[in-house]
Amino acid sequence: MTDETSSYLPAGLPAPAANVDGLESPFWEGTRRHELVVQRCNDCETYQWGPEWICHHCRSFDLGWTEVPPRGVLYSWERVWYPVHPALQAKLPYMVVLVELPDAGNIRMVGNLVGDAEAEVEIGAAVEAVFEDHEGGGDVEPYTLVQWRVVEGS
Amino acid sequence: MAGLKDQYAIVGIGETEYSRDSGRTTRAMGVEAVRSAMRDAGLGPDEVDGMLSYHGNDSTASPTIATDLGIRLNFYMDCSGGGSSTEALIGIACGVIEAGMCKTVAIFRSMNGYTEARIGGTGRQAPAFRSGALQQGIYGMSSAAQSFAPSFMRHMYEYGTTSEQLAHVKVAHSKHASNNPKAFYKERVSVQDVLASRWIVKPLHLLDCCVETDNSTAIIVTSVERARDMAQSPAYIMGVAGRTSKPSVGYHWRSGPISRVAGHYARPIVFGTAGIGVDDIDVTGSYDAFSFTTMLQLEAYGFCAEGEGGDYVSSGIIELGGDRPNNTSGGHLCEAYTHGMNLVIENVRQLRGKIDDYCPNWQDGEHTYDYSEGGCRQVRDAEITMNLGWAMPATGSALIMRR
Ligand SMILES: [Zn+2]
Repeated sequence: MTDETSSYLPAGLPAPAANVDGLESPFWEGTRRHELVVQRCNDCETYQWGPEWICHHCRSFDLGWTEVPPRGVLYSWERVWYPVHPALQAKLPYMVVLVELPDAGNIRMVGNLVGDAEAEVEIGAAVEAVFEDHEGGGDVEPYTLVQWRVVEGS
Repeated sequence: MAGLKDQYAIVGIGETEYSRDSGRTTRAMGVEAVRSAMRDAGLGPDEVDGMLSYHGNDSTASPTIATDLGIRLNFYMDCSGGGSSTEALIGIACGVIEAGMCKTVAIFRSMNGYTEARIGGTGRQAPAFRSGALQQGIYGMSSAAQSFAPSFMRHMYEYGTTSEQLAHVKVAHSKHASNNPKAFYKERVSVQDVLASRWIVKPLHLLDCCVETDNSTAIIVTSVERARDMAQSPAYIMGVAGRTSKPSVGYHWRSGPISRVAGHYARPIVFGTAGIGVDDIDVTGSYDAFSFTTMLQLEAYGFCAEGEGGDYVSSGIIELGGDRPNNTSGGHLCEAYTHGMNLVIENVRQLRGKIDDYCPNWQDGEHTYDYSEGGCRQVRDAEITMNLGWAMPATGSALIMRR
């Protein structure tokens, strides 16, 4: 795990807006502490991501949250050369990855892969979370994104 | 056997010019497309009493289009949706007629997909990142290409699928478009052209992605009893599956093999109703938002084994003159982007034997079957067609028709 303060994507993207029902809140509260917190069913102990109301394994609605090791394996990736949001013009290309978490039932998460966006990428590579702090400002509360970095020598 | 096999038919088809500068409202285009489909079927305003449309807040609603055409409706509904809606709405049309709610339904899609709301993202307001988008958009993953690309990349990793193999989808569809006077892109391209085009989001080159166009398209559905009296020979609906979904739609990448798409679930429904199998299909219309979507769906519906899509699409099978041509109009990659409508319209024409190509007497069903550039695109003795509609990896629809 590494702490990081500079952001991978340029400034100008909207900040995450928490839903009023709080469905995702434990995740965002966890990232502020630099902890990776995901859903886990209180009945069958199956991990789940992204945040939903039902456990897709046993159909229980009793979902809890738990901290998991901030490491995973690269499951798939893409290199974006044509952005949607205008702010992203300042950072082309950029990498988006799908990371699988073997320590948490192989749930998958979307993030950016920090480092050289044009470097060779290997599916199956070991990656670790990078907690990317954003100061916020104005109406925006400080928030922290979970990004990923290839573990050297993996 | 469940379903309404051979009891409903498509009797009319209509389309406006496929362009990038319609200079018209979706209302004007929608009126033209529906009117054109009514003329095709030989129907007057008193003989159409149902209307369905789909949109992404970029269209004009049915009551307006109907009023403009002098139609008084007994049923209408305007649904939110894009790709995979065509087949689903055809199924709904059969259902509402079967329920006795109305007798004949016009389905339309009207969109200024280039000059107003572009699918690729430009020209649209960036949405706030909430719920599903919160886990994707914040990382710069928001367009269709960006959302689907990891599924495509994973297929390449697991099965050794190559960019060259996928390029053959564009090559085939461009050949088809070169024999289609209506196609927006009529120029034939090579595998090398596709590979040399710029990256949009790897593994998608520019030429792996569909065109964006302005157009309206329409389809008329009625019962077989009424269909017999109409101007064209009916395209009989053998089976339909609509907006079938994977277990998780919001996070389509959440579980399972991510390159297995929703067609996996639609397959038993549509083939079950039709009572036939893949070997009976003469022509496919596998939705080509991207070269990969065509391939993944052909796999999902069993036209080849899982993982063998790359071989299938590069084998020549999907080209005119091959065993089972796909998107003979040029599809979304070359003819126009209509969210699926033009792919069904093309298959209706194939079943009529009246493909509107460069053959001098195509209106009379006279074709040369010479598929070289600027020639014919009629498939010889096309009896059964299948459309494989795509919304996203987690949602798809399908339609089997016969002549
Ligand atoms: Zn459970």
